[in-house]
Amino acid sequence: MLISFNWLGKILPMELSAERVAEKLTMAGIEASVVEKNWGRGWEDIVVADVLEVKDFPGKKGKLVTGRVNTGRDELSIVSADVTLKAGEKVLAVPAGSMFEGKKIEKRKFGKFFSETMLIAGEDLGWEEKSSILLRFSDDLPAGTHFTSVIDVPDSIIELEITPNRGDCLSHLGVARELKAILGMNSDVRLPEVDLEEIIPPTENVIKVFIEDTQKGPYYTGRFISDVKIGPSPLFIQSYLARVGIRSISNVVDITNYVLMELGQPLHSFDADLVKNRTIKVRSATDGEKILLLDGTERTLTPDDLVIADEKDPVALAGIMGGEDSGVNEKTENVILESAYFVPKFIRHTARRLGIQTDASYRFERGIDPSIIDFASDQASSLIQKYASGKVHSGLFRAGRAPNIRKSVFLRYENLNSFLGVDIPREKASRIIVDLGCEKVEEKSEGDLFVTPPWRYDLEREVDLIEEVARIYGYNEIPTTFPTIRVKELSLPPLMLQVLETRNVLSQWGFHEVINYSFMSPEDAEFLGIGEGDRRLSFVRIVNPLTVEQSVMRTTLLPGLLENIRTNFSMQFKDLRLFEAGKVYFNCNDGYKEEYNLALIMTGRRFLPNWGWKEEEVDFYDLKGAMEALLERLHFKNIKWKNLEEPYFHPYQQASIYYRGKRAGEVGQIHPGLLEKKKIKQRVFYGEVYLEKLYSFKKEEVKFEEVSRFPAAERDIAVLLDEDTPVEKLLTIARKEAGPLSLEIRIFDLYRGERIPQGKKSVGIRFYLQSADHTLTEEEISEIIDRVVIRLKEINGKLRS
Amino acid sequence: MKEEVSEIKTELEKKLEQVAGPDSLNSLKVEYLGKKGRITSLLKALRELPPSERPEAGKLVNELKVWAQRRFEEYFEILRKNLQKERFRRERVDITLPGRAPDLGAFHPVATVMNEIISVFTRMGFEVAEGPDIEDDYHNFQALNIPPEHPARDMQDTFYLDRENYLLRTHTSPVQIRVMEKQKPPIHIIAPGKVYRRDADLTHTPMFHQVEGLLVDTDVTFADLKGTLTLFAREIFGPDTKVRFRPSFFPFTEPSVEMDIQCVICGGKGCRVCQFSGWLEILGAGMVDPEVFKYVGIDPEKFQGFAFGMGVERIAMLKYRIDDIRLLFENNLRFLSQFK
Repeated sequence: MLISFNWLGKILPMELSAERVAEKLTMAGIEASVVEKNWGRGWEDIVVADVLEVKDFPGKKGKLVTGRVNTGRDELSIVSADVTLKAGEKVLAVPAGSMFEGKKIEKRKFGKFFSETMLIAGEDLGWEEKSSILLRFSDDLPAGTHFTSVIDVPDSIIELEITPNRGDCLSHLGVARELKAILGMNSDVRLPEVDLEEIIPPTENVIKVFIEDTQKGPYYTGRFISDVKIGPSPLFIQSYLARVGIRSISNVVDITNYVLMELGQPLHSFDADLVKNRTIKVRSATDGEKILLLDGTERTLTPDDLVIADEKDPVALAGIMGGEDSGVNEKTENVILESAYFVPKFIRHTARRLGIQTDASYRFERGIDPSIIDFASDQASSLIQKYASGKVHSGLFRAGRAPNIRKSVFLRYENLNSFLGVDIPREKASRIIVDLGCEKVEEKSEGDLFVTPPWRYDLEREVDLIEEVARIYGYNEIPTTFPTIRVKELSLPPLMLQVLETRNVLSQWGFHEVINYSFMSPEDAEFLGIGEGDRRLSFVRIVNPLTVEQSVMRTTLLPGLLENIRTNFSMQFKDLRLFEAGKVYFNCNDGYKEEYNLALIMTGRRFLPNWGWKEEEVDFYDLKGAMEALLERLHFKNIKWKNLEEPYFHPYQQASIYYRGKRAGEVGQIHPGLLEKKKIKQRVFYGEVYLEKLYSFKKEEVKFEEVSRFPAAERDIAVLLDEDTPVEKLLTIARKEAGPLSLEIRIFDLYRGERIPQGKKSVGIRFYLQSADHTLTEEEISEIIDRVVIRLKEINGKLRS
Repeated sequence: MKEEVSEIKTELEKKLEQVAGPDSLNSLKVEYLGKKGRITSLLKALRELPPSERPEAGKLVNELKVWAQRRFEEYFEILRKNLQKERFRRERVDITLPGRAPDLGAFHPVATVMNEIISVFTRMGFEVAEGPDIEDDYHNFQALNIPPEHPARDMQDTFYLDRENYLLRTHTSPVQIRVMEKQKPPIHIIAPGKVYRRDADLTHTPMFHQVEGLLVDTDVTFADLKGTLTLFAREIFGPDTKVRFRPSFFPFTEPSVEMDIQCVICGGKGCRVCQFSGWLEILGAGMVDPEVFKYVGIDPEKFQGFAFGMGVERIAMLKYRIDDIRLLFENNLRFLSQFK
């Protein structure tokens, strides 16, 4: 919200600069910053000018006019795009040779005509957007009067961020009240003077107000004002509205807005002759009832919505926006001025449902000050009387009763200090609360009973008063201490922390960590060919997604990582190792489930170019190796690899990971056909593990084994196997035969080629053998190797000579 | 005999100096100390001397033999050293040639900063708790004192899900509720995690990370809140970091506070990043609102506590001076590899 520093100063005269005021407010909880210093600078040469003569510009009828104005000193010729200009009107002008906002105005030639003065449109001052209509005003000022002498400049504009609990600060009066308490000033805020000359018949005799729904609209006042002359507002009103970002419309509408910004009370003016029988009914809308609003939209209502209706139809959406067919317009002569109270939650419900937010709804939603409703009506009436020559009919038509917002709250001073950890004297605390508008009604030894002011909806409980004291006393004046943290027992760190361990391993393997959004598109699953019945199709759907691509929660990390590969490829980064640890989400029969997964993706060269290594592309075994290292590091032993048939993997390069009989992940080469569609012409390898499954088992602890003090022996053999025989079969035999003497058995060589028969592979296997109680003899070693060799025929294997 | 000994000595010394390598040294050794070597022959010749001269001559020749053996040893040692030196010279490395090691990967800056935050608080004695990303309306809003139709719901644009009353949590604060539902005070937890808001522009992404904190006990004060968070800020941004506390509003804390640190970019002088205020908002906090305690069945007359919440991306961006939040989720290699 924008406020004017000068306007604020009219209500609370003070010595501070705008910057200091902004700082004081900020440190008391209302974030404030001066967004414009010296508002109005550069307008010193603008003067009032009388329009003497206006003619069509030859050949430009309806587009340009020409004429003459009197600026008090000279008669000057003009050319203007405002074809509504008439002789006898008053406008604002900057004669050629004078300055406007730091620029010198030059005499200009338009065909045969001269423009000897710039005429001011609202747009020139930043008061309007894109309009060539010249600024008009109701002030009867002699030609030559300086504009800046009548509009209270220079000014500073302060922008405020008002938190939802402080609806009371949504006006100059509210901010002034707050500032008074912050500064601890003795003088009170000054309400504007009201000077009403009421006439008869009294309002009560002219209009009727009925409240049918007191739950939503408990209090409504109407006032009848006759014989108004709709026209432009005086410059001071227009300029004040401009400072806070409100466009001038007409005197009556501007006045309601002016009072709103000054006092915080939203007002609405109806054309009394468009309200049937001048009868106002505050009622719930009927189901399906329609209303055409001032913004030109037609809205369909429900009984949850409150409307202001005449005898028959709704004329306004209560507290939100007036109706198009009943508002004040150029022809209006008689006005019904509304000042009312609407219950916040209902206004909010309707505004939210219809997606409308107005200055009025914003304030009603947060709660307005019931004690100012009548006064606001009086102030607006007196301004309409003065600036729209309205005749104000005596009294208000009051229907219902305004609710009581004030609360009795007892504050225990000892409680205040022990809660804050501070030692604020009782008198000081009490003074702060009274400064904020509370009334002290009873004093007791342990504390005082206060009654809160009617504009503070947020003060209900003792803790609310404690906050007020802390806020005004100053958070930064409260000491800084450290709490005692009493540890009772340590709970198990959540899986998330254990997941973090994986990062260390993977970064050492050259993997970069990525974080993708938790969303995916159902089309991603379709693209991957994930089949019916797969749980990865059990999507958690977002009802209001930002885009289709982000319309469901991800069920696998693959789409995100694949997209990372694609975007990096498009930037020519083609050696990639990425990983992500994050949740996947499923919509199961018994509710939503979320689980942690970890995925690796790799493509390109095994090592970045280095003089010491051969340049080779990664393959399936690089990914498998990384996965093995990771699982080993996390102490998941005895991982089993089984065949897998996923459509998004290469048919002969994929496997699933099993741990203790449960499927816990998968690895494979991404199907080149899929990659081609993403314009990735390089092999990509992917693995994903289901951490939740893995960690559902108790962690395997490392158990120390006695280290043998006898030397270990190494033996190599090369075995010819059929191409299709899994190496695991050979390893099983080797492990079995080496038995307890086996320290480790490793595959050290794999050969296919000319030197061996076709359809065969040669597997080099190395035994590390050791005994716990003696040095192994050559015979013992040979015996083991012989036993393995004998059993080779079980797997159609042969010792390679 | 005496002359002969001294002659051999001078002669051998000369020859030793001229030796070129181990081979010639070996043959020289044979020449003097071999079976038919000159010194060996001298020893044999002793037998032909009259017995009276033998002891003196024998001593002389023996000394010569010991001396020669020592000299050969010494020369062998010199040669060995020279050879080794030469080999070492050939093995010289270019210390500027890059080493041979796999390239390192990097942690994502958001994860790194989140870990740092976790570490600071766990060192203080906080435990880590976790809650679901998919929340219900009750935990995300109602139990945090944000009833339906409350204007505070506007502060957070929410993603809703296909089951009624379910949504993506808009903050990590529901973890406070979940912990307090299960556990009686003293409670001292932090809860890191992902949160979601329906927002995407220069400064907002639909998903981001927060760390929530909660401390509840019989005597936790607002001053303790200030102390804890000041310590945190200095751990993350450096020991000289200046902080200030401003009143604010959150429905689930009372009093509510926002903590600013002095701008890390301009040092408080005022710049674009701090919008010329000299201060940067880092986190929101406050004393747990009694309403929230009532929802979870904790007696607010007996217990009090504070809660805080912070955006991890914001802190990461300030720490690393990243100016566009979207970079964090583009996962571009050139970006990621800077955080090794």
